[in-house]
Amino acid sequence: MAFRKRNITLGSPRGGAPPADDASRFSQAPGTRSSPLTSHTTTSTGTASLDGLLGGHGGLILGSSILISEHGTTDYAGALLRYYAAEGILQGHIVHVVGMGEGWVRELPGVAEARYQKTEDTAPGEEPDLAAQERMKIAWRYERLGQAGERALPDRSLGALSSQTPNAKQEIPFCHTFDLTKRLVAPSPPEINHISIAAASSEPFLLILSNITQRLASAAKGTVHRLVMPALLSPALYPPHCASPEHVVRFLHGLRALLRQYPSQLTAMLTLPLILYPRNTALVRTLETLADGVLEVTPFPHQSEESQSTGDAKSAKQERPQGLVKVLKLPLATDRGEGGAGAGNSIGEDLAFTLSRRRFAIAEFSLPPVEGDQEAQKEAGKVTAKDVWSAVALNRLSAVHSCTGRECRIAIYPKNYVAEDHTCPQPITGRLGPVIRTAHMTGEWTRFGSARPFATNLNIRLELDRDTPGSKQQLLREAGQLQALHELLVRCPHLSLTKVVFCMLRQLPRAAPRIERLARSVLDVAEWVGLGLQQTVDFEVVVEIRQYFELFLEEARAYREATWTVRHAED
Amino acid sequence: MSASHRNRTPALFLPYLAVPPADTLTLLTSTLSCTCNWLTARFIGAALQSDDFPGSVVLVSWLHDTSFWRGEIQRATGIDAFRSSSNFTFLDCLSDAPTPPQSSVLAETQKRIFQAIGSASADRKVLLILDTPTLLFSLAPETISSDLNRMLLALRDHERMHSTILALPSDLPYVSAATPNADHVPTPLETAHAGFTMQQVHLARLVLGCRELDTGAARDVSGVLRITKGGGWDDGGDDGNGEQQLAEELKEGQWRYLIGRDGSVKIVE
Repeated sequence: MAFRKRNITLGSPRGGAPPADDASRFSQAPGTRSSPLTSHTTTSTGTASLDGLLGGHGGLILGSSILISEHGTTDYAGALLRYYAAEGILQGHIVHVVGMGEGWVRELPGVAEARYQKTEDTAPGEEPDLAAQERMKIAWRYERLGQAGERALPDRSLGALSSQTPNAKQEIPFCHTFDLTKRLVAPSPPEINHISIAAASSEPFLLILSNITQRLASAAKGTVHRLVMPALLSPALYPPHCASPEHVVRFLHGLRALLRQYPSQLTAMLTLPLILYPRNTALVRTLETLADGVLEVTPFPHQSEESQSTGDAKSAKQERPQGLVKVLKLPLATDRGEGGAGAGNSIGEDLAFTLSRRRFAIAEFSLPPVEGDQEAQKEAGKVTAKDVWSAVALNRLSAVHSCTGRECRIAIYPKNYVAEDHTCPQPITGRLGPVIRTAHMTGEWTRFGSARPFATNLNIRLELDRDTPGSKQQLLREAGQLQALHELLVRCPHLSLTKVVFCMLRQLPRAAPRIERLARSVLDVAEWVGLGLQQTVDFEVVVEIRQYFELFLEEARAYREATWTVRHAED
Repeated sequence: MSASHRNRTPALFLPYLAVPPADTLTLLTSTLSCTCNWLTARFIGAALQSDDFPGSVVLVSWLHDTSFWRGEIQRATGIDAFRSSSNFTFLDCLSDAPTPPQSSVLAETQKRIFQAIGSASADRKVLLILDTPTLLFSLAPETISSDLNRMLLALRDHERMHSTILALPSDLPYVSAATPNADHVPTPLETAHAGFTMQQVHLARLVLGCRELDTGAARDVSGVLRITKGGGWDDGGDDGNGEQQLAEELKEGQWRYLIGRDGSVKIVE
């Protein structure tokens, strides 16, 4: 009895139940494994680094969905989708593809050759990374220690899994490494359900949903299904009336119900082009609410050419991020309210992705050396801070532009580098049309340490330009500016504003109370609207006496306003 | 209230999470990455465990199914509401949502909720909890804020209703239509959301809002809970110390909280 075989129940709960049914209930379906954290079963997204970001479960929990939204006109999210579909085919899952022809499936990436899988960090023909070897030898066990004494998660990498369970289907790994230049060769004829979008129908989503429902109902118990939906609501695929809430929201609501109905069989991955459906609309927010996980992909606006032309930049070739990834919502963890806390919860982390021929890697992103720092830049040869800031700045600019509808200029300064040596890097400026004449905004990036690594704030400063305490007209105009700023705050979830400084240069002090009242009233409005807002805003009125300013002007000329504000605050 | 419950919820929050007084509305708001399900689960647990409240609980959810709420309530309060207590009714509007061919989704929904209230054992008052009813703006075509508000008033007016708790998402896009902006014409969905949310804020006794840290997510903070008095707050005025003491207990404030993997909540100083 001591050597009783596992996985066989002792007493069958119901006498008549066939043993095969019991066995299938206890053995895991191919391509799935149980989460190290909870009792849920997970499956791989086909991208190892993405698996690692999904709340510490080491994969996508069965019965949940991921919505990947992408800025711009690129299709990086599509690559993730291809890996997801290819992984499903290799694991023998039933893959449902919506709106894509057979060609899309034929062009799925194939498995990378084994030698690349082993040393996936290194390019072919190179020595394996010395640093990686060193790390393995010396510090392997310290990697388990998370920051701040928090208990790290069990190692769920490929190696750990296959070495621990040698008898469990070792020839099929949990997550494959794919090569975009290869074509997928499925081990057995793949079961693919092509669902076309009936553009002529008045309810195309309903047809899609009923198709999947039927397939799920008719499929054998224990089969695993994947739903792949590229470019949700893209006008190239969907008729225009699909974008109305009663169609698309009802579809996602139904899909959510279906996922809950088959909590051990179905997962879904969808992509959404944000250029058509911006995130600050209620429709997209509702779609995100109905998805279990939400990722936002922001590609950098330009691939800098020099990196591709220069052959010497080994490091650049290895680790050149192509954009930022933001995790907005995680399956399970978000519904439980954990937020970004907890090991493995990647909400709020600064992540960047690198798409190369053989892999899509998402890794922690740290700000590279600043543009002005020539030497450090040469050494690093990587993406520069400017790339990042300009990417972010362009996004902010378009957000500001779309929200206020007004032309504005935004300058982003790296605060870190405006240091004691009194040099100021060139701000990254973007410009849309004429500058607002009376007010301009100066943005400034700051980074916090300790509990909030990599949090970024955009401080907006509004400057009122007049010499004398104003007439009624001037006050009215200023009220208009404050109102515009207030609208911006309300409308722009992208801007994480923490502080607004109304800085009145050359302002005589006796006008201060009036302006303060004005600011307070705006604050009251913001407070009133601000129930449940994602941000609170501190208002601060700084009044400068003219002579101080005159004294300072000479010195400050090299600084630009943002720097000056910082210095002043420190004084 | 059991010891396990007390351990899982900070003592400071307990007065806010007790069963609300009769005929009141409590509003819970959430954002995309900061959900308020943990508050909902604690309200349910408090109602089921309370000696002062002999009524039953009806939970209507448009976003989560049975297994989620069973797990959440168990994690929050240690009781299996679905099994142990007969005074808990769950109406699953996610898996079994009325579809448009039926005469009116809204009317059908209302009918089902009334049925659920009726099915709770007789002569008991009912604490009604609605989780994300604003999805009806999309699920029931051409619903506007006053339609949903009317439905809610009809529900609250039911003779056996004790009080109502409403959980709504309140991300910026949902409320921004409440402020005029000449440059952006809000979509009907945004108008409906903003209108409904503002109406409920004015009717609510307490508003408990969960949101992210202003500076982004952190490793040791799950979110910020902000508790304010809504337009429906009754100062009580002259009837003695009890009210004053209550007002003292229910001070407005804002706390950072951390939700652990085990479902326990801590206040982060």
